[in-house]
Amino acid sequence: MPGHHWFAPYNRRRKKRKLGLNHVRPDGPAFAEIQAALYELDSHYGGLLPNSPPSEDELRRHSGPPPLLPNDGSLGRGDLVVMVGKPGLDEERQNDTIRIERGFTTLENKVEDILREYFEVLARSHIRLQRPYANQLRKPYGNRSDTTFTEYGQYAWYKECKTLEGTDVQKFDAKDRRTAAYVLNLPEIPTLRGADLLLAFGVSGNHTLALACRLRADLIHLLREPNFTILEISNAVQPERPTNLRFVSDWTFEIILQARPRVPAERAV
Amino acid sequence: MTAPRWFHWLALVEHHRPDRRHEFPGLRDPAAFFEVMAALVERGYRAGRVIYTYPRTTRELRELQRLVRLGQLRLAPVDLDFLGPGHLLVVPTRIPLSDWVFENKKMLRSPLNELDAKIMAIGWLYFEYLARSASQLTARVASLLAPEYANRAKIQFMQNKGALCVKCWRLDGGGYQEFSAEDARTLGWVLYLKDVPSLRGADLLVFWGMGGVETLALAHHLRTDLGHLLDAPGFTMIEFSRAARPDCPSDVGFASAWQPEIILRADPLPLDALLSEEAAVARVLDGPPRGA
Repeated sequence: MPGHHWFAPYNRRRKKRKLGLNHVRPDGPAFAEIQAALYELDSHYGGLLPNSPPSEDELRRHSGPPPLLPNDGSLGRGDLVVMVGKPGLDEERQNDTIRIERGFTTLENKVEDILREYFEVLARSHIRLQRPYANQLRKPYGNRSDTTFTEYGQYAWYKECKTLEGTDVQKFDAKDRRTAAYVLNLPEIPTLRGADLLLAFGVSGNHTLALACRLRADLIHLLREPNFTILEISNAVQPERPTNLRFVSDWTFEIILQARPRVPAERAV
Repeated sequence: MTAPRWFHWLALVEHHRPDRRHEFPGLRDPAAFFEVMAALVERGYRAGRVIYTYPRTTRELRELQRLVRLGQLRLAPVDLDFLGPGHLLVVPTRIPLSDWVFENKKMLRSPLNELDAKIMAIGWLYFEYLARSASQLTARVASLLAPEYANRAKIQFMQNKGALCVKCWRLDGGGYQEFSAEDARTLGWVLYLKDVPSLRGADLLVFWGMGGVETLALAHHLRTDLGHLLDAPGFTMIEFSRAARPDCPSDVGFASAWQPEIILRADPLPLDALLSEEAAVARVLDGPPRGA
């Protein structure tokens, strides 16, 4: 099975210059870890699926959103679209400081439709689950359905968790060093002409990297079977400027939600 | 028999915030690495680990330069215990031998640690200087160029819109040749060494073009029609013509239209005359200034 790399150039603030294939958000090393795991699972590398945001000039040329760039034409059954890193669905609406800019591609639009099944809000500062999945959170983590995260620095830690109804509010301090990571492994998506989708992200790039490292090791089963999984990360102690990721094996990754994803056929019913 | 493993040398460079300290690095030339990763898997390799390095800030580089001048340079250690014979260290980016002294706008900031120094010591065997804007081979390597390509010993590259060749010379200053943008010529390099003693007996693969897109295009060719360069050690220079950079490519297929021509394929130089690690770094920080 060829794994295609969803390649979203990273941009904190929109720049005048266009970002190219050689610019990458900090999830490149995370993709390297997951790619290694996929090779172990007999997948092979398909290639890049660039999702470069347009430049300011290009955006100014259009009164509304620019026309979508087709970039999913080569996908088909047996392909796997690999997205490593948090997609930026709602950062503009949430007025987040750190944003993943939109690429205005057809694949981005289709993936956004899929992610809306799982996330009511998906931004750097705030993640809110859709009701069917919030209801499946394991005890005592029922209040992880509406979570806000710290925005400054290179990590995103829990600030506050609550239920969708706004009850069971729990405040956190950044010193608690507790956060969440997400995996969505979805097979045979009709809108992607039967291709599969694998999405793995922490809310910050560094947590995405830690998740990827563990997906390559003790969590590799999440890459084998369809699932929607949320993991709570704790004990996240990191040495200064490490030259390898050995320390991540000491972090605690606890599965707080593992749901059977609603496959597209079920959605169609 | 277990498959050999490769290790990815990871260098972070962020042009827009060069003086920011990174708690955790990103990845330089990741797409190029993934292309070559695929080629290595086809050759029976399996993934090892990523080695993280951290670019020095300007202040740190100045301080290192001061220590070099005082003869007090101490290189930061890197844990290489995992590396050994049968392993392959992959460096998918240019060795920034001369970026500091050339002060190019698109400077790569080296980590200048023990591992970096070992690779730079090897780089100095092949290059008198190597920066984003220009390269010059050592006399020993330049003498290996075929006569029709002898003027590729010294090359100057565009820095703004891609990394096309602008002009080139022989080492003696003769053979001057200019290239127009319509020529759309650029260069790629591949250095593949076996059993490197300073790397605990591991192999070393370094490949690069002068810009990120050029490196990616080279990697794509290494995965396809130039894969044989990964089968035997050597130092290779590839000249690409029709090296057009598309505005918004939807994949790496554009690189297939680049026409590669191998203009130098040489056996690796012996490693018995390597600079010491400290001397290699001293030359990076305190080498002859631009234009010397």
